[in-house]
Amino acid sequence: MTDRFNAVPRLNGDRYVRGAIRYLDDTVPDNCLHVAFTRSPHAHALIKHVDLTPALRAPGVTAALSGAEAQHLIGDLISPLPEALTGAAGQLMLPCLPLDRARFAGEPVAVVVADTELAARRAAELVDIAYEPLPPMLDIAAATRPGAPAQHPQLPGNVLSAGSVCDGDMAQAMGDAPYTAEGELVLGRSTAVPLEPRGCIATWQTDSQRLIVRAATQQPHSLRADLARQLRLPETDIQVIATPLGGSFGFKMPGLTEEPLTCLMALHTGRPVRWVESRAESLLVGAREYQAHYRVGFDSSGRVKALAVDIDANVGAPCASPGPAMPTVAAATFPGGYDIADFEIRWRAVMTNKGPWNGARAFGKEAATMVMETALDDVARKLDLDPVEVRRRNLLRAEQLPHRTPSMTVDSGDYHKALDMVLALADYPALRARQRRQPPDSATRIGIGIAFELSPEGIDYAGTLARGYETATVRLDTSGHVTVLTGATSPGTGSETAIAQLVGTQLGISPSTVRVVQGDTDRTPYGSGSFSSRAVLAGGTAAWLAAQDLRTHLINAARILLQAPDAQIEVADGLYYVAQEPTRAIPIGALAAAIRTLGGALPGLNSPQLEITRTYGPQNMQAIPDQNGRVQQYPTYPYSVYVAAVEVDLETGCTDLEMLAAVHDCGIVINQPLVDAQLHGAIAMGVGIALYEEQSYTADGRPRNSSFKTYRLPRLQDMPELRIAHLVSPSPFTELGTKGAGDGGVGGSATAIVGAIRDAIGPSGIALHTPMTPARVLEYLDGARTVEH
Amino acid sequence: MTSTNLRPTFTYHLPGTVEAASAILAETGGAATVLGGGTMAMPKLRDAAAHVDHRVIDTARIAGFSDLAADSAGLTMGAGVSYSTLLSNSLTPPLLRAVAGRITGGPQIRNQGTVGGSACQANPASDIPTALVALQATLTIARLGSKRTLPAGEFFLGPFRTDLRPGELLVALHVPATSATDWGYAKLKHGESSWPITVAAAQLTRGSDDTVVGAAITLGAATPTPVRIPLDRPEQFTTARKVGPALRTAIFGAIGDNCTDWWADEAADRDYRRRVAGVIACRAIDDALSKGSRS
Repeated sequence: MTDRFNAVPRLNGDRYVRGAIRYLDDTVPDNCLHVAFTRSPHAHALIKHVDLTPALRAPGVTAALSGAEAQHLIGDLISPLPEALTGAAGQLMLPCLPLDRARFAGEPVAVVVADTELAARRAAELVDIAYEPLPPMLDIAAATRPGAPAQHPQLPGNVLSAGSVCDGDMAQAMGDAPYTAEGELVLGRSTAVPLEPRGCIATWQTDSQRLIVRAATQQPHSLRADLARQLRLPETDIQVIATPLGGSFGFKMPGLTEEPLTCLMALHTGRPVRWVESRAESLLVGAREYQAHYRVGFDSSGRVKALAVDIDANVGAPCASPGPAMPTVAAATFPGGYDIADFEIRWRAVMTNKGPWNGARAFGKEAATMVMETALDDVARKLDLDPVEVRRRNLLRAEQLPHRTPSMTVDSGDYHKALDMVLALADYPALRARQRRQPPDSATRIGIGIAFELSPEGIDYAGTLARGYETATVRLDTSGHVTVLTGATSPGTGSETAIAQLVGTQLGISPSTVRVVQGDTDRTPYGSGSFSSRAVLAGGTAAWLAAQDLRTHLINAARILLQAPDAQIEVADGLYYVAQEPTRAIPIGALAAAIRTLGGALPGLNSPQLEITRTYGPQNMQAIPDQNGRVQQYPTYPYSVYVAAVEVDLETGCTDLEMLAAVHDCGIVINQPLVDAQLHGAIAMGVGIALYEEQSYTADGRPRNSSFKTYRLPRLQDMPELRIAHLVSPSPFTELGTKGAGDGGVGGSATAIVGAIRDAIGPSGIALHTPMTPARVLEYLDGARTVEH
Repeated sequence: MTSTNLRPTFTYHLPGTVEAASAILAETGGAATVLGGGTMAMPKLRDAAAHVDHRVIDTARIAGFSDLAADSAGLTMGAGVSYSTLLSNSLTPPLLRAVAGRITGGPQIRNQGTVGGSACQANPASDIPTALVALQATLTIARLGSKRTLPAGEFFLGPFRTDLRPGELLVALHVPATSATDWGYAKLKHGESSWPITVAAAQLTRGSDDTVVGAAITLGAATPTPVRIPLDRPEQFTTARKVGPALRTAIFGAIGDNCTDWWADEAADRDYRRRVAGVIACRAIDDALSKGSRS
């Protein structure tokens, strides 16, 4: 296969491997102060009194603020959720430090800065706070009970947002369906876990009278706008520099309180102020916790006629991050890649006294995948059909695409081909044969799980700073090298390499001569950073288009300079030359020099311009509701299909994950190794969700998982044998046919693994509950034994 | 430029002899952290850094601390013997070799972690305490001017609690020469990074005619402290290749009779541990039977 986009290894890969990358934590400015937060020990309490005096008297302490003081110095955080979703009057406002109520164990209640981190942390513990503890509301039932104390004054019922996604007539179709099945599913609380936690360093520069903020953030421009508003500075007085990230996965989007408070303390003290969170602090923030009830109506062939889902998310304490928007996405992703005409998906995001949510990879879509596929497994079981057959009978066919639902226009793909491919990869018939050969009294049982995942990408949150658009400037210099200034950032994924490839391809130069500048609000155009696979999808395409315009300009100049006004000019290896006459050539650097020195002067060389800026956003979006109230936030629809094979130890409940096969289609691929790396990482997250990762709480609401010993991420030894293949179905709605590869794999792999465990054990009276720890597997097995008898 | 992070500040001692270490311990009244390999102590020091100042006594340079020596009475090893040493030294008893080979963590942990350190940590969810109780090891404990010894079974008092008193230092462990011929080990954990949920060491002693004359199971991680359970009628293991239904019932029964208290942590609750303890014990016996000398 020819590689249209000249894929190269990661341009900065060696620097990561050699440890030459300087992360935020590698910098400690001279004369710097360190931030520590006094955190509530209670999950839910009234704050009666805050006395900072003991902290202020502690050695090394420079300043401290309580909520009461901070509220006069810094503007509130504002949730990006629109009124239409929350039902609140006006935007949802949150003070940076709570004034009267602590809403989760670990919530910052006061901020202290001191000469050392140790002094700051010690002093933070000295702040004297009188609490009146209240019963914690840890689950949805407690938080929505009549009379439950409101966790946000604008939302008396503790429902942060709610809604439904409906098509056709679900009730009628369900009533008409010859068969129905229903079930419950609990997706346990887990989170995105970048190895590098969050942090920032803020410095008030007296000479320039500007605030310089180095931050481990995905969205420097958005953070700058928020900071400007909250600190009452013009945006131009703030420079945000996003440092190289050691992972992010949605975890480093603005909206939590620590960044603005760190900046406030820098303004307050006039000294550099540094904040880097600990692992325990990092693990306070959640990103998933759903409970779903589903009901599916179907005919004797396994064709689904109706789907009803109630999906509730426990989003923890209210916050202003985009995290609480994820349940909306979960609901909007139904019915995935399936041809189901009549459905009703009702969802709620409920506030409780657990930690707040920030974004996390797959952004709610993993919940939709797990519910949808679990329901289809039930259909298969009820009809005694192979679960693969049920997928075949319901998946959209290639010729049905694009396919419109109330919340999506599913773009392109060949789901049936992908399913066939993954079955071949997994050698599905052989797996089933092996399963049939198992002795009935065996202490282990083989299970096989199937999952189809639709992973909408490229979201445009119109009305917020998180847009689907990106802007890039491509600038050529006299060395023949190119600088790309892009609003897209890299969370460590290598988007800079893909962008360099795209620009290099257009201009006929090596990607290694393209320098991509990201993350600096002084240098880069407006952009929304990285989330929802937009860095290459939107950011890369904006750079591609800018480079295309520049290429046209360069070709025109080459015609003039080569005195071949009507010739076709070809571009390769840094040379612009007359077609069929490669000796009539000019190197790109000389071309740039000529344009800079003679542009506008030499006849025919019309302009000295050597930098071009373009803005790009995909088609296929309806971010503002149309006259029918239809909203479509996602422009592209990557998909993938999974087969998992597990062996379940019936005595211990341990699951041995033997093999996971995946066929993945994210449209046109710019750099296959980078896409593969994304998929491998996503599958690791899926393994974690299915088997290991969980944030649990004590009965009084204290988090129990504060380290990697207790919040268990899968390690290499926990990963299955991976068999991966790709399909390429270009998007008809994007410039390059790309769709994005950031989220694909999380929900599908988790669901296939959970499905395989279920397949091994059989139907159970117990609801599925992830992660499927050995104890839960045994519980599920006990439930299955009840069903059998 | 260095990264700050939250590095604990402490006074660091690197004594060369047990006497010197004991003198420092005596001076601090026991309010010091004794470092073996530091794989557990260092993270704890870091996490506690906001609260206290520390004195740290590193045992790495204490003479003889990482030595193994065998004689007719058995094997004596310094408290600082690492897992790597257990793996590479030909004197290592089979059970300790099996344990060391399956410690959670890579070469860094195996090189750094020590038998004595793990014993003193007394984390129920770990391997070494169970192995020491199974081996009926004797621990030598020093304090300034005196020494005492006690059986491993009496050393572990509870979760993270040992009989080590202020001013005392675990210096050596003695594994008696044993008549046991076959050892087995089984370990249950959930995920590579997990602490063990249940471990079991099985010990079978065969007479000259190959008859099993002694059988014992030592269960750990499932219980707050390791529990050694001699099994009745050991001869029933003589011809077994695997634990069958009758033996299984006997083993579950013996565990039920001997284990009253169960451990719970983030990895698993009491009910789960109670349920799987017998399973893991049977697997340890299976492991021992698979090494049997039957022809």
